[in-house]
Amino acid sequence: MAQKTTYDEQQIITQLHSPDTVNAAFAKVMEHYTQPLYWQIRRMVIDHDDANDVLQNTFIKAWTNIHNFRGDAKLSTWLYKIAVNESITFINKKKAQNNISLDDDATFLTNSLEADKYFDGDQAQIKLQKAIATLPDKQRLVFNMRYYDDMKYEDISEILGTSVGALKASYHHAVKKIESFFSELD
Amino acid sequence: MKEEESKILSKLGKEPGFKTPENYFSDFQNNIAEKLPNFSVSEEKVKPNLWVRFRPYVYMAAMFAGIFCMIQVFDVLNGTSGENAIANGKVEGTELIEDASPKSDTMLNYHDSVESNSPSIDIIDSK
Repeated sequence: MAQKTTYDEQQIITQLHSPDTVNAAFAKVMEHYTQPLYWQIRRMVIDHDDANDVLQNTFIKAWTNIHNFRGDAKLSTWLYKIAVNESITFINKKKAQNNISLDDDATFLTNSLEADKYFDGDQAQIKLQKAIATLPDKQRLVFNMRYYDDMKYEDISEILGTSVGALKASYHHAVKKIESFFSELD
Repeated sequence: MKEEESKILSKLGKEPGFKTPENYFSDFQNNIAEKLPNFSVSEEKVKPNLWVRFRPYVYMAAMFAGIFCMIQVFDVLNGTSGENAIANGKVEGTELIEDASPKSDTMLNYHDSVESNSPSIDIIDSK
């Protein structure tokens, strides 16, 4: 495995603005953000191959728009925004392919979870994924970022463009819905 | 609003059970570069900093300085530095001897002095 190089975000942003260093800087960005973005996308689209496609699209979009990144926001915020948008676009396309209304939830994504060779969770974890999939897209995003990544509400707020108060309420509703999903099944 | 801990969630933990293929992340990073338009790290014109550019010359200069110092130390240890200076005519108060070959009268005088049973007579006579 290749040795990880040091990552200085401020230096990377400066290098991204210079034609001489933009390629090397973007390579470092990819090295640094591949894993966190993958897991964020994977929890949204569930399937590994789908997550791989969305992650590729995320980096392609980031690379082709790198000249638009001015460094006003954090690089992580910018990349997460792209990843979130790509994930939602992908889910909506998949809904259309499966003749599912855009207003319906994303439980169809979890239908093949038991047979997925890249999933080794137990029945309780499958149930949790099905419960999360019943949430509206934005609530799923908030729940995943907060519950799995322990992301600060301030950071989630920057990514999703929603106030911290609204995000806290959204997380609270998500937890209540998941609990009621479990109690209905028991 | 205080974030309450859900009993169900705390029982389940934070490991969702998702896996990736072996070496997925390193393979992804190797493959994604080919899919990005006009992207190539190998063609990057990275300017080396000043020290990197001049380092070979500094090393070479240090090497020559070292060799010069070693020669000086050898000369001092062998006691030849003074001789060299005299040979070059650079020692103050001495004159450069242009022709070091003995003059004929010196030889004669020397020869005369030898006549009085000096062991080196024979050597000179044999020549």
